Amino acid sequence: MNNIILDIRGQICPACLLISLKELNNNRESIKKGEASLVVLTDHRDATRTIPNAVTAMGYSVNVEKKDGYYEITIKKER
Amino acid sequence: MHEAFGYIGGISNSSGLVIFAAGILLGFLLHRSDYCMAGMFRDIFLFKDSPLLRVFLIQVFVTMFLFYLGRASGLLELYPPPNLREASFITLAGGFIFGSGMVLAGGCVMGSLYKMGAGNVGSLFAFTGLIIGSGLYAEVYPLFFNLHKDTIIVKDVLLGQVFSNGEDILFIFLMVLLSLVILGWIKKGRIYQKAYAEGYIQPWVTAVLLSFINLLIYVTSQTPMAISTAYAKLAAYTEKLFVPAHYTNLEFFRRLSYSVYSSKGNLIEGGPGAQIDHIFVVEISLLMGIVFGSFISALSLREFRILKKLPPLAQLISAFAGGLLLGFSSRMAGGCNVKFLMSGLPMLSIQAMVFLLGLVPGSYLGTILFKRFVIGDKVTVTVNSPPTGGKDE
Repeated sequence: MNNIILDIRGQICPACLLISLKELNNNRESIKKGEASLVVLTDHRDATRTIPNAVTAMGYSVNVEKKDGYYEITIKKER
Repeated sequence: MHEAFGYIGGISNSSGLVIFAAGILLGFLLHRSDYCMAGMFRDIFLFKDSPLLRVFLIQVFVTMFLFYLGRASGLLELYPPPNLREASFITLAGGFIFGSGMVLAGGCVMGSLYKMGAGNVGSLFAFTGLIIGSGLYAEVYPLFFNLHKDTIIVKDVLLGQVFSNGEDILFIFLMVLLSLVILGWIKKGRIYQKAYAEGYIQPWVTAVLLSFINLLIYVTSQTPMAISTAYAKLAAYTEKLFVPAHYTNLEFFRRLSYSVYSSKGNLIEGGPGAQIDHIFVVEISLLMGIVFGSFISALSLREFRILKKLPPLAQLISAFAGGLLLGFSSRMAGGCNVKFLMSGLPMLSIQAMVFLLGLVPGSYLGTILFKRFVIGDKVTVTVNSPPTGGKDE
């Protein structure tokens, strides 16, 4: 499976969510088929609220992990 | 002006320390909850829903309740406080520009502080823009001040003064109404926020504590929480240092924002100029406290991140331009979202309501501008085949 890495660390709000959603839509086909997942790297605390909220509402599964000073949000097709 | 020992501008040095400490707590809470007022308004237009705006209404409600009690018990001596004035069309225009500015800056006057304290470079640009914008206003101050005087909407500062006899009924009605609305949201689970950030503090907790901090500041300083004149003061000190002759010529820096006696006979006075006065002790202490508190919070979570990764140029320009607009418009309106929405609205300040009336369409415009000019194709996307990726610094 492909991991599409989207590194948006250091970016201001509301860029984080908007860019993530845009990227999600660009790769909708492959993510829905389970061929790829979108991995968002962000140091924006609020993105750990807004991104999971938005993508679960869109029917994806989401996992958030804290890394070294930032968060890794993995968006996959629903299990 | 004669001042008692240990007193500056009608406020004691120890009060400044209390406010600095309150600022540290505030900065810590704002960072933990990512309590962003710019986001609250922007998200109405961006996502047709704004969970944090509901949380903000809790803050308005609790502050209204605390100020109401504080006034009734005589704890709040100066009511209306000296840092609120009449509303004019300049307040409305200021609110509109402010609304656009905060969306472009990625944070309001207070939000930019806690984000900067946590190491966000974009907010450092917004902070710089805020100082320069306040300084630019000083150049055109006489024009705008006359426009303000000529377009005053009502002479009263608070709505309660308009309905002098029905003031208590008005407040009780609003508090009952707000509590019913908030209870409804709590029942439907619309207040609790699910977030995965480490050390996350529920925004409603921050909302309630912000109200108490505001009361503490009001009791300590005789003025409710306000912060944006601190930026004008920073501009004043900078100009006094580098262009002293020009600084002395500017009327804006010579005038006082307020000068009133407290019941204890202290002359409470302060202005945007480069002098240590009431505004310096209150607002500069608060400003420094917020930056420091957020810095501590970010550091303790190992999330402090200055210069690790710069945002795209478009975002830096947007943050700086937004800061300029915030600085200029808050001086036009005579305050920012902190004074108006967090302090003025719960007192039913007419100036606060007029500011809000301008701020909402202003954030709509800001959202459109941000989407069009900042969210371009500036993101680099890399596709990795092995499932373990993400270390590309």
